[in-house]
Amino acid sequence: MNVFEQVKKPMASILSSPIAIVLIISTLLWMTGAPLLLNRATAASFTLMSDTLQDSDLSVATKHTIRLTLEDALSSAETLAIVFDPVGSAFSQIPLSATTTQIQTTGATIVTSCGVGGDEVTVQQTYSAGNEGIVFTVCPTDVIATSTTLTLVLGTSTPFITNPAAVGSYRIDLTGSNGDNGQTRVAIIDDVVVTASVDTTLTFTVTGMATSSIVNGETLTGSTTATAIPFGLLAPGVAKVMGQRLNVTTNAANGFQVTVVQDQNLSSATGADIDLFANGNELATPGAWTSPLNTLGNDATYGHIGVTSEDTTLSAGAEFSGSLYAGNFANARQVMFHNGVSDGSTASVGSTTVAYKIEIASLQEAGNDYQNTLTYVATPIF
Amino acid sequence: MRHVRTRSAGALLAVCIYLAGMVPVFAQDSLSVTVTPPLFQLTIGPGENWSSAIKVVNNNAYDVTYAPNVVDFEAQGELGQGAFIPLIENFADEPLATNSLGSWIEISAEPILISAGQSAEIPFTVRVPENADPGGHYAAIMVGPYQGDSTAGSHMKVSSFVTSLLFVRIKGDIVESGRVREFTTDASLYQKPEAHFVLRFENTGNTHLRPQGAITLYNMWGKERGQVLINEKSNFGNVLPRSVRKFEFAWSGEANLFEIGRYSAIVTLAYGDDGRQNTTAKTYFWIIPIIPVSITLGSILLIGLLLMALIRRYVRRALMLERMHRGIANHPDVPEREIVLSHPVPTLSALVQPLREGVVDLRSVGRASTVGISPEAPEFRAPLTLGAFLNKYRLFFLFMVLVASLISGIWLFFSSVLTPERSFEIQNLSEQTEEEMATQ
Repeated sequence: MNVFEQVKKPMASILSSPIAIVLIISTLLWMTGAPLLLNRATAASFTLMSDTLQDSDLSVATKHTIRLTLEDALSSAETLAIVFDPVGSAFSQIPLSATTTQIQTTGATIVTSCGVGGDEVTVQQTYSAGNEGIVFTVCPTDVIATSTTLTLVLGTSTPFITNPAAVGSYRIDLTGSNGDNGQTRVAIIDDVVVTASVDTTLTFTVTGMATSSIVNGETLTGSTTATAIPFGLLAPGVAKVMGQRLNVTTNAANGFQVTVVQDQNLSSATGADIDLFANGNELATPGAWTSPLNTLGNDATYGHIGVTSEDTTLSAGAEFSGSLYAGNFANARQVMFHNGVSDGSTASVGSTTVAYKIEIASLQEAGNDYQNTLTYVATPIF
Repeated sequence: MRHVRTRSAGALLAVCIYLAGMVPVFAQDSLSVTVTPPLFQLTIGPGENWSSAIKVVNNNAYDVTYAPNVVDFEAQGELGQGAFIPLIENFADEPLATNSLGSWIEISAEPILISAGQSAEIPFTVRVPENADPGGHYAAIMVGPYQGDSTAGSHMKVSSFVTSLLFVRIKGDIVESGRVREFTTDASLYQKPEAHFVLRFENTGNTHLRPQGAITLYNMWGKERGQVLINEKSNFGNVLPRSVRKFEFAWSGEANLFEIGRYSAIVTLAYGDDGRQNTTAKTYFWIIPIIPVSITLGSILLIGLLLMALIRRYVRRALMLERMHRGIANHPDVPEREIVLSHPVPTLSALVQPLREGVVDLRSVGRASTVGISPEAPEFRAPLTLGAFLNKYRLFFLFMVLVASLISGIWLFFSSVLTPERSFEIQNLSEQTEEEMATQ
């Protein structure tokens, strides 16, 4: 009997057995943690739970203001326990001599010994590992009513709960012996004084580019300086492309963006202007270059100018990839972006090139004095 | 010094052109400007003043004239970008006057000539009116070189600016309120231990917030598998009032076949200056490497089947021995099941008979089992060697190996998924560090 036959028989036996099939499925579900998905029977939860710390820095004693709304009443002798970080016991607390002054409550009255009030609670500190916290116990015959919003201020004037020494988020459990419970979390951070660190700087450089340089797949037809893009004499049907290099150096952690905006359309002293790509519709989503339509009576189609960028990490991604052009720089248009520190030289990080392509058709009014002003603005990401 | 409040609507560029005309400079191949700091943050009361300065560095090889310009600023988009709002010339509109930080800034608008390689400070003062609205107010001081140009023919003049942002918090009825609006992964099932998180924090208050905290990842057994800190040790990462800021993170864990199942990620953010309020959110995702898991489960199934086959052989062996013991022939024409059913049900002693036989055989390893019998006699059996013993009971040993493998596998699984330490990598896609950039 070969191995296959050895195995075939028990397999057929297994598959014909409902119990075996159930066992196999159970094993698969168990391995992938599916049982954790099952809703466990839970008691009512406190609502609107929060903990506001006076200071979330490492290892400092700080005041906690815990707020919660009871789903069910807390009756005589029932307790409300607050446990800080039940997993790691990373908080520590100093024993209090005067709990009624350093712990204050609204929604219940905290007392050292039960009296005549109807909503009195006593308080006790707990220190055992995994149980570090505070327990409030409702006085005999008293009750904290359903839907009461409790505000528990721990460390009113002298904080007695010390934050963990490690950065992270920490769980705080609230458990009522009436069956209500809930969890909230607090973030503990290393709150250093950043202003004392190295000065943050932002450097922006614009550089002219030479003829025949390549920008985003386009060959430049003329040279530029840092302060001018001279298209010169424009001839119908002959597109001109000119570009500039942009460099940004910054140690600002969140990076920067560079936008470009024009003050007006390229305008001649005659009053004629050259509209934005394409045919004056100020294309926001970059598209392939097309010649102006040259539709008689629609001067927006007589000539147009567009912008392209080699930056592949713009907010919208590599939106100019494939020598595409946009025409929406009548308002600020992003041409460079990076979300971190920048060395001023790495492509699409601290360095990119932009180009402007212009083309007029035969109906564009003659003139060699079309002018406007482009403005680049480098801004830190705040 | 003069109060920079005489800006016409939409006059941002007009100011640049005006100043360009004042300070003609010949075109250059390259032109730089550096400012520090790029972000001021302060808290100040109504009626109070605050003075500081922007440092401007001329990195160029030639002297450059720089001049500042003040605009209001507001959030734009969800990536920490902003839009500039030119100041309004006429402040007859009271709400504007009590809200426009730009209009409260006094700064010299006169151009400053800075020599090559030198720096200069441009002082400014924030004079908060008594009726200023409490909460956050935002403005930008733009500094740039203004270059004259004598190029003939059609051309575009180019000017460039670097901005320094001012985030001012006016004391009073400040509302610090925020929430995690979205915390998700870009997929619910991953085949590798990796995930891409999107966190969107909404500022619902009236002043800017800088949420700080951590995202903590847990495997399905509750063991921590990574933590990413958000806005740690930074003045950036602010969320302006009534806006949403998006943060993105990529997590990749250690490739481990056993680290599969349902993962949870919990984000906890603290925010606020008046008290550190906390907000938290949780999301889940699955990591199931389908091919490796299929191979593993297939292997487990195969082992199970082999074990069953071996058990069946063992039982058959026990029955055979029992039949021999009772002197029942195993007739080839009679199905085995019928023989079994026609006789009493085997007892436990019958089931352990193969083991007893094995023990007996084990004792006889290396010596003849029939001492004193002639080798020619039919009942003589040659001495059982260790090799013959192992070969005879190979299926038994295979069974033991399979059982040991199964137990080891289960032990390995739990020791792996419950290990407290596991390497992982986190990349903050909203913020890149110098080290990360260096690796590019």
